Amino acid sequence: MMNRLFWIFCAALIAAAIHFAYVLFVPGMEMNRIMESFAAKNGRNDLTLLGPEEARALLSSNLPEMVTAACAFDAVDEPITIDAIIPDSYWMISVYGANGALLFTLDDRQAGVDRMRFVLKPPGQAAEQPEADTITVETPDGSGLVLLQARAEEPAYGPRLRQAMAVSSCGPRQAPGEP
Amino acid sequence: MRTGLKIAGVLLVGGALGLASAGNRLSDNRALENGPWRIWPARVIPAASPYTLAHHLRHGRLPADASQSVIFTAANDSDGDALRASCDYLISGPMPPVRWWSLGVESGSAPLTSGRVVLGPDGTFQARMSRFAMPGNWLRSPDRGRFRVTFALFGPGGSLKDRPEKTELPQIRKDGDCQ
Repeated sequence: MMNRLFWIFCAALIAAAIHFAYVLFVPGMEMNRIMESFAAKNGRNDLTLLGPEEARALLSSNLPEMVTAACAFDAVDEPITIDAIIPDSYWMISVYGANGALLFTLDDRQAGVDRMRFVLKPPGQAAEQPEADTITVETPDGSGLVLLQARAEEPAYGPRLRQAMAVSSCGPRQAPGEP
Repeated sequence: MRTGLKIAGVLLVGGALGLASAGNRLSDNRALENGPWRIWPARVIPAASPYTLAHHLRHGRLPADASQSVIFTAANDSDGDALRASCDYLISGPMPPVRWWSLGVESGSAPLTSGRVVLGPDGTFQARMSRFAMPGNWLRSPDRGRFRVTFALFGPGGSLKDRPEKTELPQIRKDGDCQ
């Protein structure tokens, strides 16, 4: 009897360990897969406009009205700057950490300006003194994924929004357009 | 030899139980319910529970925070029956206070969005979901099989951000007999 109880206890222990390992490790592993796959296709520290299928794969819904751009960033060696042009329609930035956690999000109304700068850096890393309309986001591992989304209320606005997204930038530079 | 078999059995049973319990805990069945709609706890900033992160990321999808968007899914109608292409549905009811919304069939045709639908005189929303073209607001369902509907609300206000399971939402009811 005691022998059987012992083996049942061992099975329960292993079940609990597998359960928690799956729940705790799957988000980081899956986020790593997403970032690696994105970086292999589009490079790191570079903002890329996503096609509808790519956007649908990353997000939880089919939103053809949304223009989506993403940047897999690596701020381990130096801070990464996102210079965002904010259009006159619904707009949102989301910063995800390497474990898949959403670290920061802001929409156009909360921003209240038409251009904004975001500095991404790991804790403790030196960064330039923040200027006006600049927000510093600390990322625990120094890497992650940034999503910029804007809504084209009418299909005709789509190209204009894509242009605005294309002017936005992600990388270790100080201002859009600078070499 | 016998002990070796027992260890192998315990590892197998424990591993299977652990994976099965994790899969069950992360399934849509464990989400918050609001009529036919399901939603995982939508507040992920400043920190999401490991289960919420794992729920989204195990399908390679990034979580959203309720401060920006609230995303419901429905696999059943308001009577608890699975959504089927062979049935027509009437989706009707009040819309919560949001900046804009999108209602679509997962992996399906173009969704209905606010601003492109006709609302009733009292502001209520009504749409028909069918694989055949319908007058008024029409959401095209797939040609065959079961399907899911996604209801994404952006710029949520009021209690929707913090208590999405308590907010009044449109219901999904069968419209006539299934074929």
